[in-house]
Amino acid sequence: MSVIGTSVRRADGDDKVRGAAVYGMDYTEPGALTARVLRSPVPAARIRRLDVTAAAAMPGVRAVVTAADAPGRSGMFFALRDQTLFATDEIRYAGEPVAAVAADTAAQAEAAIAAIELDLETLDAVLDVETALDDGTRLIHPDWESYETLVPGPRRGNLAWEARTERGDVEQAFREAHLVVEDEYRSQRQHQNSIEPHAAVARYENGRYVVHTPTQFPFNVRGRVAQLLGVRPSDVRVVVPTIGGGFGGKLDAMLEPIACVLAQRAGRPVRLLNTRAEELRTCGPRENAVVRLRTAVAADGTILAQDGLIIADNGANSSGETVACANVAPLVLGGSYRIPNARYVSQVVYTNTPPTAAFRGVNAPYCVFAQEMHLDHIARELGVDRRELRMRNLLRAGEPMVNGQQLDDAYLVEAMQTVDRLRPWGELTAASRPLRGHAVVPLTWITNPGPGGAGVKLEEDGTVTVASAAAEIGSGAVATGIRQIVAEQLGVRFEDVNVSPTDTDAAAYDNGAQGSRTTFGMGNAALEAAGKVREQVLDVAAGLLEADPADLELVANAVRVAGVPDRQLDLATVAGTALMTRGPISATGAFVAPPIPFDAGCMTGALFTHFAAATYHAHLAEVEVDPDTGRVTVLRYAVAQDVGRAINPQMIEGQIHGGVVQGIGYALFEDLRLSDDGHVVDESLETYRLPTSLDVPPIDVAILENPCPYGPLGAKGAAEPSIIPVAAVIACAVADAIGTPIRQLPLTPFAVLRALREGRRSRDL
Amino acid sequence: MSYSFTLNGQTVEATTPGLTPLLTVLRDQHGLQGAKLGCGEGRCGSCTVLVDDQPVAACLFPVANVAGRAVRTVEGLAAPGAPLTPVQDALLDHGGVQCGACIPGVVMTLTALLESEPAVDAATAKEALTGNICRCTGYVKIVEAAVAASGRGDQA
Amino acid sequence: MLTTVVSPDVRSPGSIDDAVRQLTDLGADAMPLAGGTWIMRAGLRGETPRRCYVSLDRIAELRRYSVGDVVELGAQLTHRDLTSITTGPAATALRQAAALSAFPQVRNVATLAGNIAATGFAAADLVPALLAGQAEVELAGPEGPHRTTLASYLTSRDQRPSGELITAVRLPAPPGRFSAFERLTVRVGGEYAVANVAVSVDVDAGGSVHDARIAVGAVEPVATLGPARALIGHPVGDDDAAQAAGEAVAAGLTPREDPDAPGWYRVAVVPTLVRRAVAQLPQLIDH
Repeated sequence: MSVIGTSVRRADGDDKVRGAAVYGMDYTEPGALTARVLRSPVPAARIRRLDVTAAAAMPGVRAVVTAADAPGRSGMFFALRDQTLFATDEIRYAGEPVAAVAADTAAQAEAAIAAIELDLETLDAVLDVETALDDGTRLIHPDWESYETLVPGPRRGNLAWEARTERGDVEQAFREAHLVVEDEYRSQRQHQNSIEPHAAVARYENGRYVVHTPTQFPFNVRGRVAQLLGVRPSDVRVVVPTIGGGFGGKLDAMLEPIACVLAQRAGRPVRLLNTRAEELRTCGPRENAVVRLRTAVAADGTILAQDGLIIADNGANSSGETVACANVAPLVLGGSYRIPNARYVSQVVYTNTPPTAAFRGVNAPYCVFAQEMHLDHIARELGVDRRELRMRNLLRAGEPMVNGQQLDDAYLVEAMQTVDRLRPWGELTAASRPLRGHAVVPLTWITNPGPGGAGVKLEEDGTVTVASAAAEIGSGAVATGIRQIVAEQLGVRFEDVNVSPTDTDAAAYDNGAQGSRTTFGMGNAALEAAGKVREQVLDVAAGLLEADPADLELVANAVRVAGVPDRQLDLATVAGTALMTRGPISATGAFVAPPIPFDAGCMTGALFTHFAAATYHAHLAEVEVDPDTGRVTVLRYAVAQDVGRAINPQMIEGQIHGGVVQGIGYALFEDLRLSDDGHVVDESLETYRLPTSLDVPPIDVAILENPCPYGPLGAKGAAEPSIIPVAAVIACAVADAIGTPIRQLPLTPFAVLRALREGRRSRDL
Repeated sequence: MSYSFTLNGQTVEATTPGLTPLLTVLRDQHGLQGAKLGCGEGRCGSCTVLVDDQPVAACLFPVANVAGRAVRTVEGLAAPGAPLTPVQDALLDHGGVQCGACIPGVVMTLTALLESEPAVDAATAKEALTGNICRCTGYVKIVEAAVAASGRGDQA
Repeated sequence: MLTTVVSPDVRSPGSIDDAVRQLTDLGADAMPLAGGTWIMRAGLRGETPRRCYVSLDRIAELRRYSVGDVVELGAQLTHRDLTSITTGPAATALRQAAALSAFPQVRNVATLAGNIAATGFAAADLVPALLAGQAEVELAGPEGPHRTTLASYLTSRDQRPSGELITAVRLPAPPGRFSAFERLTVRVGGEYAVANVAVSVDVDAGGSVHDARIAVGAVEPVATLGPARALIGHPVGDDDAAQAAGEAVAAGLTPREDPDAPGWYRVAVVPTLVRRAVAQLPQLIDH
């Protein structure tokens, strides 16, 4: 029986439910020192004097480091190198590292931090993107022109980056339009808030840095640590303990380079662990953004052209993914609907605020929110049913998205039809009444195409080990998916496939647990390696069984002659024989997504240029609004999601549930606010509200299998996308319920009650 | 000060200032790292342990107040190598575990719930879990597991 | 977040007298420690901890209770304890407040007196329920035991004398008294209330309200009683009267501004919470 499509238990589950799994936050080493970081108390200042002499002389203090100890300049994905590990001459956000201490005890480290002399000349803080872009505003990076970039990107002053996509004749289409609609939308910062805070334990050993850290992307951390410290990537080894959640927040180096440089200076292991407040104050959240859309439509609702401006807040530097993902915004705005003429400008802007970063569904949830509220506006103007308007403009198979990429396997119509079977639109519309609302939203999304390599070997006992640096972030991609794929390929039991611990020294490059890529990318690499192992097994077995390899099959941890069950060898015998005859059975595999044709000429400043292994989705929400309190209740939710092929349906369902609930939080109350003086307001889980069990509606899930020709066994990415349409579909449903458009997230009771009252007032006029 | 209490059935002494959080005593003095320091402010529930069979946030529980009481942690449920408890088993069977950082706390909350309620339905499980934040699963499969573990299995 | 060094001393006396003696001796350096859920977060609030805490955990008499025309509740009863004590309709609001507050890990630990005595805790849920019920607090102190109304205790909460300790709460439960509690949160639950409201009414044989009290918490820094006159003379549960009373109560409130919720919103929802609490009352009578 095939293990593909079965909901096997995760291989790391037993330790997790027993409390035995060792997470990054649990890990330490003998003799480890405790580190503390001195962070800037103000958002913008010039450093007049920084003196650590007194701190370094205090009891128990083993190392104090500052910018002088970390000379490199870097940026997330090396896209725009505007970040130093510690502030050098200028402070650019409240919470920016200024110095760090390692000491025998936490109390000694804290005392030393307090003894560091820091004299600042405060500057006017630039706290919002619009001010930052105004002529004459103080430049946050006066030396911006000297920074290195990975690819050329238009930028100037406080405009850190600009990505443009332009196709067709936009102006002409607007001139000929039946109707032009224009809107502006705003969205907040959302914090990942994994239960496990960032943690790093570093030591310096044989001239290399060894850092244990619960990162999603070990090779990125390796490269970023190296660049910040001014060493080679191979001078750094990253080892990953159990990861307690990430959601994008653990893609980048955060505490690792600080722990590394302290360990090197102290000659002892150093442990650094964030408090929850430090997490909220300094670890990059989803960026806040402004989205302006102007759309030309024909009388029947056909979209003729769209002109969009996305202004995203980069914060003080590009240590997060916001610059690298700037072009995701045009792709997602122009990836679900037929927009023959389009111009999107995606700007990423410096402010004196904590840097923003990747959060599941990078750059997309607010773009989709804007697009869908805007389409509802168009539907209202034209008097067209909201679902009908979407169906009319939905991309069909073979049609191009905004970058000219032809979506041969587009499955949006099927996804919309599937949710319609779950929650029929006609019935919901017929039953509509005041304060009840519903909405449906389609989505096309990417599977991260990045490279990965795996090794597979057959052990002497007939079990299989995969050597991989893929990180198990919790999705089950490593704990189930890759094991299932390899088990299937080699005909062994799921339980007989092990995967090596995640270690950059022990396995080939891997592009990280991001963009739903692990089952897809690492699954492909492991599948290829397992295929080579299979050939070696068949070759050895063919000799022993005196059969043609073509007549052999791998079933139940054995090789047998097809149709002759008593002519078989167990894999242990094959492995043992191979050791003596040809050497150990092992092989490697490698993968990067194949090139996909698109119109490269229509884009500038794009690091993401197309959607590999695109997936297709539809989400539907039904909501009720309390007119007296403004509270929104999500009554019911439905998802149809194309996963290519469902390797482990239960794990996929879990990803969908989790993404929807994170999306509900973003839609309704999650909001990492900044005060007027540039400090994070929400520095505890008291006011930064995370969804609880009580906030979860019934969620209907339909998994669609629309295989990807270059996915492992047809699989595409499945983990990331379920968060993306949630805020859009809930906002559209709330707007439907209250008869008032929504222009800003989140839809707190305060915001909704205000909207209700303003709606009432405007109707009274 | 020294405080005596039972920890997973064995009498132990904790010599530490009385306001020390129980969580610190468990993790740093007894090597029990199942309960997690997720927020340290009593809000995430990943440090949930049972004191006299009731779930508490160990990060907010002063060790002075455990004197003479019985503390149970996730390590005290199924002995190493022994079969999982129904709650632990159901969480894996239903796919209720992802990153798992919240899970030791969830296991303790649900263990207490099942010990006090003979039949747990989805609403009861959700109510009991209000103090356990899970950022991964959206709770759906955890709630299903709780219902299944209580032996009802007729509501999800 | 936890600090690795927690220096304050904790004493754990076995009797009220010993606790009072120790608190008196230590003066302003000490304060009582009940469940600890508020005190353990002092550092997170930026407060300097006291040098010493006197834990009430081992004083068995503080967990006693009795039910009669007056419900007597020991100071150390937890929220969870309060939900399981069978009392009449005069204490319904208190039971509801205890059951809806926070989440199990806190309800299992946080105490009745802690909820009252925690300075700076605007959103305490038990307090409005007790205020509306005309509760009194029993105090022990260097001058011996005495009793005062909860309302007067709250107005002087920041300046209570050293050595003083709440030992019990007395909640009158005369025949014909009914109460109900409502709270509003941004999420469905598991957090501090944006506003919490308790209504307590005395109903005559004809089903008409002849006395009433409305208390509101979380809106102002300390919970207060508001004007409930509009309920009097109307049938219990009357919606128009409730709306009028709610508006009158809201009109008298000066909200605090903090990151949990905007002040205007806290006030704006008070009439709704009053109406919802009043609407519960007829069902209680029917039982």
